[in-house]
Amino acid sequence: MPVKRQADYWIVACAMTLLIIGIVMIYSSSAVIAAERYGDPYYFLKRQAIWAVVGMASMVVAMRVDYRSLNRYSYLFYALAVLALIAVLIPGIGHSVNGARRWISLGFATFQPSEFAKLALMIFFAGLLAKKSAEGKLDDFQFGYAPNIAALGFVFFLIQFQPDLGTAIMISLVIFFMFIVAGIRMSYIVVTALLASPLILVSIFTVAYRKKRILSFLNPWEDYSDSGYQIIQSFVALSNGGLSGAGLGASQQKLFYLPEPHTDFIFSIISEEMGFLGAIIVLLLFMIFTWRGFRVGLKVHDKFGSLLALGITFAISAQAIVNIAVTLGMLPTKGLPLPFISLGGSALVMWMVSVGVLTNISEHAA
Amino acid sequence: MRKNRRKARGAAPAKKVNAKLKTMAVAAILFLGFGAITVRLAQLTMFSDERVAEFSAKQRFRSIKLHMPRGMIFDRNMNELAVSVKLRSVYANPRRIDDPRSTARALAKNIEPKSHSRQNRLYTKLVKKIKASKDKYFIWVKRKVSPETYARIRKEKIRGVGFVKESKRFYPKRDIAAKLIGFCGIDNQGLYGLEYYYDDVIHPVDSRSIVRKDALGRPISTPGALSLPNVTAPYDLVLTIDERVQYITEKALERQTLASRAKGGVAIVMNPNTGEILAMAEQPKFNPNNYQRYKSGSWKSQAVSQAFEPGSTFKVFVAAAALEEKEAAPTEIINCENGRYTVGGKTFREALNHRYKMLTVTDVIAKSSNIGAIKIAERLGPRRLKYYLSQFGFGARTNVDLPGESAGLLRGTKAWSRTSLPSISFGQEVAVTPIQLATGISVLANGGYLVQPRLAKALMRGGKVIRKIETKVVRKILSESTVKSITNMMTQVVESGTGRMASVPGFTVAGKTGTAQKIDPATGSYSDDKFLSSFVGFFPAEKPRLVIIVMIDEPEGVVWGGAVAGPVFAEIASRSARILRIPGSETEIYEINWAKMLRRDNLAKDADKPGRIEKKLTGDTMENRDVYERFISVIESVKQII
Repeated sequence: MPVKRQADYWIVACAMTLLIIGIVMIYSSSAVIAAERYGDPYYFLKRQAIWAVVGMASMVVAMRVDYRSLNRYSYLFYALAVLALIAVLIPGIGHSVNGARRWISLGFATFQPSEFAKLALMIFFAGLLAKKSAEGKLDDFQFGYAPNIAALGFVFFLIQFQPDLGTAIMISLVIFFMFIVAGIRMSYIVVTALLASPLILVSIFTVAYRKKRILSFLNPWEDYSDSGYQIIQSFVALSNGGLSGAGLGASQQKLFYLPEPHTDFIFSIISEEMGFLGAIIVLLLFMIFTWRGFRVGLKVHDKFGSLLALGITFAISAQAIVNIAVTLGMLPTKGLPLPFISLGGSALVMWMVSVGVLTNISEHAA
Repeated sequence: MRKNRRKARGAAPAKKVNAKLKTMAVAAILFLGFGAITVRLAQLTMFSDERVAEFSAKQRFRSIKLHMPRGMIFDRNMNELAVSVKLRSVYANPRRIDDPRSTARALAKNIEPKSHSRQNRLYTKLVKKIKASKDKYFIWVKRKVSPETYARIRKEKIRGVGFVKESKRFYPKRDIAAKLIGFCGIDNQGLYGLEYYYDDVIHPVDSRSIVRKDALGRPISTPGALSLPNVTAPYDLVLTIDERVQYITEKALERQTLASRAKGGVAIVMNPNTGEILAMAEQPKFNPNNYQRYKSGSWKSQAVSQAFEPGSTFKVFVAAAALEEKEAAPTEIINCENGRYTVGGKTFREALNHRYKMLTVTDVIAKSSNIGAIKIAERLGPRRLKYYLSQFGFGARTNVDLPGESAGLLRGTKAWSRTSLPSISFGQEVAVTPIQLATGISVLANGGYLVQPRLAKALMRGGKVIRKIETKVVRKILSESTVKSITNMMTQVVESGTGRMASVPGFTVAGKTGTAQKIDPATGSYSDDKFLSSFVGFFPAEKPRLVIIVMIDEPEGVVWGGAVAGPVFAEIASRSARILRIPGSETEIYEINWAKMLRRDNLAKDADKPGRIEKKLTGDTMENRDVYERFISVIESVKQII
């Protein structure tokens, strides 16, 4: 049994710094919009501050819970995730915004089941894969791989039903990454990916707005007033930023030019106000986080802990990359928030809990 | 199965290494992603595409209108004739309107609170307009609303609805001088009258500015916002018009046109020495504050745009030419042919079938003999007559500062028939505008100079005179002695001739009556019952200060220029003289016909009344005024008794 060591505070420090940058930038980017929409420039700042406190408290709790106890409840987590994802589809419980049913209203706040499902599935699959690995069934198609795919596929289907293809793909990406590092045969994974890709392509090109997003990604200038609008406004923000930025609070693009400046496109506003140098600091924090998270995953001897740590790190890191790549026009526009920084209630709490779990695992890394 | 399990167990350590390699590979991919992002970030922040900068500039700046009010218009004593008031205009920003129906309803309710049908019409119009321009940042809802409407809409706090301050032209004196001042359109552009003529002077110069805006089109003031350029304020226009004289002129003209049920009328008061127009009245008139309620034909100034056949008033110009050419002398006897004179196969007669035999040239003018005028004109011949009439400015624009001036009609001698010269000698076959006539009479009043008539006295800015408009003498036409002789003849018109009703107590008046038959458009020949009755003159005859012309178009009943226009002249002259403190004719003996004075206010009554009261008044200038003022007060009290 490995001895308990000191936690990896690099991880906590990165997450906290990003969270604080986020609070500052949310205020800067949303004040004008909040004043216009709600008559209160602090509207989003207040919400983010409350969620940040809740998130930090949850992180501290998660840090104190021995991660190994999570393994015992891995099936329960899966069941809860499925239940929440089914609940959100029921009108009356699920809260619909712009035709997508993604939130459950708790009265004082909203809760996004798919965010919870992400962490729950990581715990579930870490446990399952560790067990199968111990039993040597990892490469067994009938009892090893096929049930995994079925469990993932069901969740994918539920999320896609909201519809929220982006989150469904992100979760699948994380779980597949866990399959790979758990040691499942690459041939299985490649074949699954080949089989799944036509389905995903069909679901993209049969829905008008998704198709439009992809096409406008290829040439945003073609339709600069409509589908290319957001990405071009992001380019304008980046161009305004230059090396050292326009100065904190001096963004022009947040004045209703760039939609969602405090959520999905907050990185553009960071670049506009703080410049290339400020944006690089954010990138560095994510890189340190990624490096430390992988280090934990590689060092911990316990298979469950290792898979969970790698899954959490990969989930946050990949989402950061995807989000930033979107703001830079390297990927099609997709409504994914930037971890720790973007305005987000339950999502922020889940990220903080994930950081807590990761930190707890790090205490057991050799 | 079993085989598989064994294989897995046996390969366990290798697998662990394998898993670590795979993990490292994924980590490497992630860091490659971070690397790619960094490169792309550097490119977009520091080496961005020119298209981006261009796009950014295009959307970021907006040119907005600065609300510079139009220059004011003052009379010569700085009384406001046209001012600009600040009013709010309501606009909508369709980009910020989510539900056009509720916005339109709220707006319509507050703009048209009284009439339901108007409210519904506005509602339908607005819904259509907002929907049609949903990509725009700005559409007008209603321009220049009343302060009450503004307060009502503001209280509603309708999303996507805003206000701009705009200036609206307001004419505080309403219809006073409206025809010459004109009016402006909704964008404060001069449309008629002086507002149009001096538009480039009183219209604000550069009233646009570039500002930064947010995506909703609202101007923003950040440290980076461009400073507004210094806009030069427009000029204020000071007129030669004297509001008081304008007022009495309009009232006198209005009273007479109404009393004689005339179609219209024009009266001009002018300073003959400077060309300054002190008053220019027209009937019918309109209120420029809501000009839309009047027929568009009633907006322009007939005083400069409409030419009439002048009739007998024209004889003075013929006589002046003959005197200047020494073809006639004031006391010379003219054979007036006993009332019938045939030229070119046409027999000319006198008015009222008078049968004059021998008349002096002075009497020809005083009694307004047509045949006498023909005889005088014959001495000049067509070439010289035409030359002098042109010298007086007939047939050419006076270049008065009003739009739409007509040149009138004075044909070249080649186009004259054998009856043209006799006709022209008493004011037929020529057409003159009232302003031409006033300018022509000014030549006789100012010692023989043709001066350009004008309405602008000065341009001011910020209370300081920037430019004074100087008197423009066009040419000298007549000698001193000719002017003196013609003035004497014209005083006889008022003292003993056709213009007695134009006499002004305390002053020697020089004038001439005119009763021109109008050409009936139906028959193309001279009408028997449509006349243009006029009186032209100036006073004091010794040292003329004012030229006044009065023209009444198609009066009913008494049509004689002396009886219809003469009293209007007298009223304008006497009241102007008091206002302008014009000294009376020195050491003169005045013969006041009281009954005549009373009749002036009672024109419908017959001319001859029993009980003539005559009174002689003597005294110098100052005393004259006192006496005159006492006289007026007596008149007023007598009027009250009647």
